[in-house]
Amino acid sequence: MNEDFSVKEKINSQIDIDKEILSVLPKNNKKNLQTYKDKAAEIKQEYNTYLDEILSEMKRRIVKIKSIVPDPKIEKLTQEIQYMDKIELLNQNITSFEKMGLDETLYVLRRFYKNNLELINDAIVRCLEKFRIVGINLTAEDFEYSIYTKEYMTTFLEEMKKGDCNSGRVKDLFEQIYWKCPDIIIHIELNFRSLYLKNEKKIDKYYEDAKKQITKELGLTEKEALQRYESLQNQLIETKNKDTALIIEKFLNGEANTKDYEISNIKKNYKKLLGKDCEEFDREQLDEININISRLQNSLYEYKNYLRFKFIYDSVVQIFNSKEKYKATYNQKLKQIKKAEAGVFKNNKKIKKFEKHKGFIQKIFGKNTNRLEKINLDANAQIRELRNTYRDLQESKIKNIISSVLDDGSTIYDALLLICHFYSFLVNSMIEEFPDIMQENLQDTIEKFRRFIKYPKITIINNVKMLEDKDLVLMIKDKYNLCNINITKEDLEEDNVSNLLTIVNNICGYNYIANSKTTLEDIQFVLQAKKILEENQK
Amino acid sequence: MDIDINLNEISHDDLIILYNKVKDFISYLDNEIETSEVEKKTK
Repeated sequence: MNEDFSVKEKINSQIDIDKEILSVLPKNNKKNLQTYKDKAAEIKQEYNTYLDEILSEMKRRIVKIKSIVPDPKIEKLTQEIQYMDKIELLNQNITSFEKMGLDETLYVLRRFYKNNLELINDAIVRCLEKFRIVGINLTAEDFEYSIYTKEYMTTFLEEMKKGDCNSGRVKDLFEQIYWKCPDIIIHIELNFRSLYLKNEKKIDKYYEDAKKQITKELGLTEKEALQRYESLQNQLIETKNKDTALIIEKFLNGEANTKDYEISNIKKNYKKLLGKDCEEFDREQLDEININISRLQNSLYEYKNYLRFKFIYDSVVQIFNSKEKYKATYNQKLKQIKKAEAGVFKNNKKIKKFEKHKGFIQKIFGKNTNRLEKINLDANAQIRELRNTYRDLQESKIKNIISSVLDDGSTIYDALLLICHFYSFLVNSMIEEFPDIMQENLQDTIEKFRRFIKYPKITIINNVKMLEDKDLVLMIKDKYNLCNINITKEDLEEDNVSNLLTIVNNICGYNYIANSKTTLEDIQFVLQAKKILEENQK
Repeated sequence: MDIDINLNEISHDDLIILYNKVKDFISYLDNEIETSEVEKKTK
């Protein structure tokens, strides 16, 4: 007789005894019915007490199972990685503009019509902060792009100093200026861009010094630092995958479902991949198979994401293939901007002069201020034109970088790694690919793309050159067929990769549970018992 | 009630089975109490 049966048998037998006690009691009159009722209540009381003991035991077990804390190595590795995040600044292929993160923040201003004023103001604060970090403390005097930028930023900086850049005073002023100049946010955006160009050398110097400081602090060369960073990321992924507390948490927060890890399902998954029952393999063979399934998991993750972001790669390839077209454009655009901005500043001086002598001019020419309006209109038109030139400048800068950094020996990964730093390029590619994409999805997709690029276990796209015409599907299929894993070309078709990845993920997840300090039974119990305890609290 | 089950030692599954059995029996008793009360009023 097994233990299951024994417990069931014991409780059934006790219940039968108690039912028997009740069944012999007569119920033929009021008095006997009351006696019957009292006895039933007495037995119920005993069972309620027993139920409390059962619930207490459940609580005790849940506490015990959940008492496992995450491996402290996770926190340590995370901190080390965060500390090393600054090695991004060692990147030679991006300019100080990207290192400052200005493209991302200015994008909020650029798409001002999609944001509210508070988001715009917060972005302005972030821009000011980015300049401060690189040693440039901007004041109202730096916002001379138009009379409106000066007026708005003077009040903005005053209110920011008081601690509320979204104060009523700022909002009222914005309202007032907006009706006179609906392009005010564009003016502010371009003012920041202009300030970057004006201070570019100083900012570059800041990053040069930072680079020396970082390599000195880490005591590593750039190459060594990158290797160390990758190794830390690998260790973190492995430690997290194996961590018992995190495994349990995945089930508790609904990220994983115990059904997927039940042995019958896992056996089916193995059979799909191996074409045989897993019992046909001995322990040693199965260990080898599991290592290869784990590698397949990385390959599929990589391939799935490559397909997902292929449109970004295609945009880079398009530029790369026609690189000759873009070489001189950047300098031309820069010259154009400098010339146009000189015109803008000249106009601003005229406006200021006009404002200063307004009384005198009105005395001579009456109330006619047409000339001032004309200068103002000219200045606004020039700024609008400058906006386009700045867009072109940014575009040609990226194209220039793509054509100068990437060469015939560059891999698919090199191209994606390079472009992941150029926020505006990513945004444009995404809008082109998904014209109806919402702002929040856009940000989320960019973050997912960047996470993919930072994934340290990439092994396929970093070995395939841009110019090579390799069939990635065939490469993956052949590689794993050699390891006796039966995947077909159809399995790797875009619509099917996720299904295959789910099968592989479940096997890997199952193995992580099997090697952890918990069991599927423990996890299933916690889920069931938690539900029971919640029901009994109602 | 004198039941020989050591709650600390039984498996998770048995603990859940035990809970369900006890819970069901309590419901049965509730029903018996309610029915006898109704019957009492009709007598």
